[in-house]
Order: sequence, then C-alpha cells, then structure tokens
Amino acid sequence: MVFSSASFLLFFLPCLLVCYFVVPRRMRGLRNLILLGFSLAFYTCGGPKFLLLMLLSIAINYACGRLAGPEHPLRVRKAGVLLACVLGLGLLGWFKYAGFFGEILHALAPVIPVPQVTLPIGISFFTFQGLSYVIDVYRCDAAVQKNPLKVALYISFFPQLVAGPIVRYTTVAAEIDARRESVEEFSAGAVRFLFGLGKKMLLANAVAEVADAAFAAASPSAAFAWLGAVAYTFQIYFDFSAYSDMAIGLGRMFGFHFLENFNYPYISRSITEFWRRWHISLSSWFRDYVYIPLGGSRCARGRQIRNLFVVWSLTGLWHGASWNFLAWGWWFLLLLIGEKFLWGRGLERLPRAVQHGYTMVLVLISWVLFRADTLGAAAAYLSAMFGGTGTVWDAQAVYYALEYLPELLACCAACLPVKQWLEQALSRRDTPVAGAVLVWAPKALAVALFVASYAKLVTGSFNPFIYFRF
Amino acid sequence: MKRLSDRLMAILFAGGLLALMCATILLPKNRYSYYENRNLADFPEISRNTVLSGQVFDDLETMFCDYAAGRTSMLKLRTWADLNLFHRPVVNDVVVTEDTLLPYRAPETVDASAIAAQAELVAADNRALQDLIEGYGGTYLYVAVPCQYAYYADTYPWYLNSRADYTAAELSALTEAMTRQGVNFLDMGPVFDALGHGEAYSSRVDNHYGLYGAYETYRAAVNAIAAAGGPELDFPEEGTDLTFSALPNPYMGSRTRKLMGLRGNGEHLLTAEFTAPLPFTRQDNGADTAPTVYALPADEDAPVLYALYMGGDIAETVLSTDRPDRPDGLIFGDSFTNAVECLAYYSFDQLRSLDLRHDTDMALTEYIKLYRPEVVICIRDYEALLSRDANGDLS
Repeated sequence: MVFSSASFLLFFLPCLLVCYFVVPRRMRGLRNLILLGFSLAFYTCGGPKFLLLMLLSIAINYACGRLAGPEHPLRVRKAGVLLACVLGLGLLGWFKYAGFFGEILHALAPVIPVPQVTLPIGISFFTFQGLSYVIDVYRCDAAVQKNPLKVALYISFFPQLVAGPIVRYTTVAAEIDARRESVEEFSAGAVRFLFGLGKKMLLANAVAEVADAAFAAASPSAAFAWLGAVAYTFQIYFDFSAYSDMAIGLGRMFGFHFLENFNYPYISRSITEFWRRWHISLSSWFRDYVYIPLGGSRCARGRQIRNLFVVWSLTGLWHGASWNFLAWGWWFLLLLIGEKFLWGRGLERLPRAVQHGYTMVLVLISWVLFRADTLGAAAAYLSAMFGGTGTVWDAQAVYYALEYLPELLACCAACLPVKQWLEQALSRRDTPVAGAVLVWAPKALAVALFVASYAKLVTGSFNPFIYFRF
Repeated sequence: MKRLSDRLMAILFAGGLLALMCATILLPKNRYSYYENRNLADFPEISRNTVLSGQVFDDLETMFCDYAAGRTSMLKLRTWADLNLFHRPVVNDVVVTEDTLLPYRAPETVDASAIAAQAELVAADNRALQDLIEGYGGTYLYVAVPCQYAYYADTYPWYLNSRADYTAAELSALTEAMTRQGVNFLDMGPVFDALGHGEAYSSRVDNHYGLYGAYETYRAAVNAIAAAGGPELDFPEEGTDLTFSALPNPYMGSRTRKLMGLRGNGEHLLTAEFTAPLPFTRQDNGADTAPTVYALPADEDAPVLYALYMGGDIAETVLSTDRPDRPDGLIFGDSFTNAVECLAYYSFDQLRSLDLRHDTDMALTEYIKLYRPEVVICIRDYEALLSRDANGDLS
C-alpha cells in the first residue's frame, strides 16, 4: 500500500484516525498499540509473506539492542552490534543482492545457479533503522528500549516504513513514550501530507509518462532524450520528496517529528551542496555510521579517498543491486573527489548561474545512469542526448513537451523555495491581510491539491472502451 | 485566527476522509461506467494464494478506485481541466483539434514487407471465399471503407501519428494483392474523394461514417456487384425513393463519449425513410424482434450513439421483406456494416448480417453454404483490413 492510493486514503487512514483518536491521550500504550497494529497491517498489504521477515528483523534488533546496552561488558555489547550487523545486513544481502552477486558468479562459473529472490518492500529502510538503533544504544547515544513493542513500533511505524526517511531512534525515542498530539500539529501534518500527495499525484506521476516514453524509445532524438532526462530528474525528486513530505506529515498528525529529508536539492551550486540537500537521512546515516568510523576526512588524502569510495559504493548498492547503481555511486564519488581536491575552489569563483548549470547537468547525467536498465542502455541514452542518434528533434519530443507543458512548468517552479520566499515577503509586510494570507493560503492550497489529487487518483483506472473500442 | 484555521483544517481533512469513506461504502453502486463503456471491477477473489501474493490488495485498489465516491464527477473535472485549462493536444486518448476529435495512435514504424505479406494472405482468403460463393452462382464483393483516422488524416497535428504512411502502404499492398487474386474489391476512399471528401461521409467525433457515408458505400457496392456480373440490385435514390432527416438529439460519438460529453456535441445523426412503405420482419440471433432498423432514443434530449443503426453490433440479424423476386443478401463485417444494413434491405428479399466478433453457431463458410445468398458483401474499415481474426476469419 502506498499513501497515494485509494485503499490508503479512503479506508486505512480514516479507520486509523478514528481508532487512534477515540482512545484517550492518557492511554499512550493503547495508542501505540493501535499504531503498531495498523503499521503491521500496512506492511501486510504490500506483501503479506514478508511480514515474518520484518518481525524477524525487529526481533533481531530488539535482542541485539538489549545486548548492546551499557549494563553489559564491552565484549557482549560489541557482540550485540556485530550480531545486528551480520544478521541485519545478512538478510538485506540475501534478499537484495543474492541475485546480483549470483549473476556475477554465474558469469564466472556457469555451474553456479543464480538465486531467484523477491525483494521485500522497504527492507533497505527498516534494516538501516534497526541498525541505527543498535549502534546508537552501543554508543550510549540512546537508552536501551526494553519494551519489544516499542522497538517494533519504531521500526515498523508505517509513515516511514517503505520509503523513508530513515528515522534515527534518537529522533523519536522520547516521542514514543511521551508526545503531544494537538489540533495545531494535526493541521500542520495534514497540510504537509496534502502537499506531498499533490507533488506525487500531479507532478511526479505526470512527468513519469514523459520519462518512461523517452527511455523506452528505441532511437530518441537529442531533444527527446534531454526532455526525458529532465522529466526523470523532476520525477525522482517529486516522487521521493513527496513520499517524505507525506511521511513527515503523517508522523506529525500522530505527534512524531521526523527530520527533513530534502532541502530544495535542485538549487544547489555544487555536487557537494547537492548531497547536503538530497536524501539527507541516507547521506547522514552513511556519514555517521560508515564514513566517520572509517576515519572521515581527518586522515591522509589516500585514506579519505578510500573512505569516500566505500561510502559511495555502498550508497550506490543501497539503491539497487545492479552495475548501474554502482556506476551512479562512483559517478558522484568522482565528482565529490574532484570538488574536494581539484576544482572546488575554482567552481566557487564562477558566476552562480554557471555553478548551478554545472551542478544540474551533472546531476541530470547521474539520473540517466540511475534510470536506465543497464549500463549499455545508459551509455546509449547519454549518446542520444549528445546527438548520437543523428536526429536533433522529433515529433515525439514536441508532443510530450506540449502534452505535459503545464506539469513541466509547475515542476520548475516547485523545485524552487517559492514557499519560503512568499512567507518571507508576507512576514515583512506585517499587515492583517498578509497575516491572513500566511495563515489561510497554505491550507486553502492544500485542500485544492487534495481535490485535484483525488481526481487524478480515482480516475487513474480510467480505461475506456476495453472491448468495444468504438 | 491561526487556531481557527487549524481547527478548520483538521476537521476538513479528517472529516473529509471519513465522509469519502462512508460515501464510497454506502452510496449505491453502478457496475457499468457509461462514459468508459465498460464494466467496473468485480470484488476480488480471496484465496490463500491471492492473499499471500498480495494480488488481492492490488485488485482491491482497482476496485476502490472504480467505486470511489464522486468518480464520474472527478472524471469530468479532470477532462474539463485538460480540455479548457491546460489545452492538452491529447485528452483521454482523443486528439483534440479545433473541430475534430480523433483517435490517438502511438508512434509506429511501418514495415512495408510485413504489410505486403499480410495483404497476400488476406487476398488469398478472400479469393477462396469468392470461389465458394461463385461456385453456387453468387457474387462476392469486398468493400474497404476509411475509418475516421484515415478520413481525417490531414487534420492531425504534424507531430502526432495519423497512420497516413501505414494506410498508404496497406491500401497499396491490398489493392495489388486483391487485383492479382481477381477478388471483387471496392475501395471507398477514392469514391469519397470523387464526391468531394465532404464531412457528410465521415463523422468528426466517431470512428464510423454517418448515414450519408453508408448510403454512398451502398450505392458504390450495388454498382460494383453489377459490374462483377452479379444481379442488378434496386437502389433507392434520395428525393424520389427515400429522404434523410437529422435527429434533434445530440450525437455522443465514441470520442465525444471519451471526453465525457464535454466536447464535440454539434453533430447529429441521420435516419432515412423510404418513400414507399417497405414492411419487413426482423430476427436477432434467431429471435423475433421489433421490425425497425433504428434504435431511437426515448426523447429528443437523450444523447444518441452510433448504435442507433441496427441497435449496435449483433451476431446475426435477418431482415425479411417477403419479396421473393429479389435476391437474398449477406453482409458481414464490423460495426461499419450497421449503417449500410439500415438502407440495404431495400434491395433484397432477405438480408442477413453477421458480426463474427460475437459468438455464432457456425463458421462463415458453413453459414454461406447453408443459406447460399446470391450476394455476399464484406465491409471492413481501413484499420481492420489486414486482420484475419473475427470478421477477418474467412474460414
């Protein structure tokens, strides 16, 4: 189940709201139990057979968390962390990477069969969340949670379960036990959720049509290839950040405060800045649990490069088990090393527009690596973008540009911090009208976005004339 | 003010979702979607396998979307916005031009050799059928009629696929193959061109021609049958033998319907009345039905569909005029036959029509051997010319 589905909006969420808020606030345990029950049901809808796997992951992290607590000797605590890493990453490795590495081994020795393993939904997210809990307990950054149901709620809490953001235990530990739900929080959460829903339904899904067509074209013109790459650049941002918005909004409705996951990444003026603004929960996870423990930047240049190599190889593989994602990670590795040691200072001296253009072109190329099915397909697509197919533009480019022009323009605007600019401008005016606009406009817009998103959602099954076409 | 707005927002959000849930569950359900012309999703099958695989949840999602409260209004809202706010060139798979609603076709590569090979097979099938019919003294005619995308190919914006290349390749290959095989073949494209390629011969909002297009097809077929050595069929001339009149009802063409009736309502369908009364009986699939060829709407405001003609697609229809001095005829093909049948029973003692897309008790050749009609006419539109399925299955 996803948030932008009729099942979620018309049944799951209203039922949860009724069940949750009908319970008095003082019965925190029961409210948590309701959240846990609904979270497990939410996961079950996505793939019931993997529910046991998630419960196993919860059990492993709970037990290892207990072992990693400060009341135990250091060797037991280390064993707890080690066990969590081996078992957690072992499960992740099997379910996500067995096929990939099996194919590599099969290519080397054809007698070795390639295992056929189905990827459980959200395994990368709940594995990393569980690990962060055990490591934080080991580091004494968080207290051991003795109630397994609370660990279960932390790991399986439905807003961030299947697509993040990766919520650290320390972020929500206190709120699991004592949080304050209020009308103000609920309203802010609802607005945030509806903005996310609008981004997903109205922007991401629309530009996905352009991207899908361009990437499926056998021999796209340069214009069509660029249009497709731009569309995918928008799609991945609005898809992912929309999910984060909805997760943050839902969390807020129930009194949880997750950290931001995106901060207008496409206004960045360098790749380094881009990665400070993009998927913040993942990059900070790798920074805190991999890069810094390896020595981070406070070591010799060679070791720094090695550390970066490890982090970006893992970042690539985290996104998916294929050479494309590794290449995507290494692409950013090269660019970040370049900015750190070679051209970073020079870049800063260039005009802002050039810095921005440099960043966006390189990011756009990275998304081609990310989107293409194989490395060969990525190379062919990149070649088409630079005139490799011999045609500069074609009818399809014109059609898709005209058909999706409203969404493409809206995407351009929505990439910018327009909301912040408007808020600042209105705050400076300090008039009753400006105050009213500040209070009412986001809510009115959120309601309008909901109507438009609902229209898109329920008409998504618009499928006319299946048999009697005429 | 902030507190008031927060309260209102919370009530609107939670209350709105609850209201939508209740409305979706409680409001009466219509299992048929008129504008989409399809049945909506069934309740999914619940079994161990469908639950464990997650299929049941996917099916439930489809069902919830299909039956979501206010879905038809949302379809209209979305279509209206696409037409009037965003001015998209293609809405709900309909190419929207100033005065024409055309089908959207994805870009395609024309494979001339594959088309030629398929045309050979189709021509051979028709030759075999013609041999069968001529074997008992009958006459066979194959009629190709332009469907809407072909008739208005030059109306498409240049960046959309009008299938002009495909149509040209297909017609060239089929004409050549039919001629080589000696099949009596009539292409209505050049006939309509000679008549001035007017709007009267094809609808601007539906895939089919209107009654004038059918009338000229009928006239050309009568002439072609005579030229092929078949019987001289009576043909009703406009003004003396029949009169056309337009229905006041708005025409809900297939494209208009896809656009939820929000565009393309200016066209009106015609009916024709013979000057001299021509009583007949009618049987559909072996059962007696009302002796009429027009399924007229209940009142003048109700939208009317192309199914006005003959009441839509029916597996077998028999119109009997009880004039033994006239020949018997058989017309088979897709919906393009319907409008012709409304007129063509004028020429025959008994006119049979078959639509092989529907279940029929016997194959086409068995049917022809059984009834041995003196005249057999196959009518196919340009889109279906090379198809050897359904009405293209001449076995």
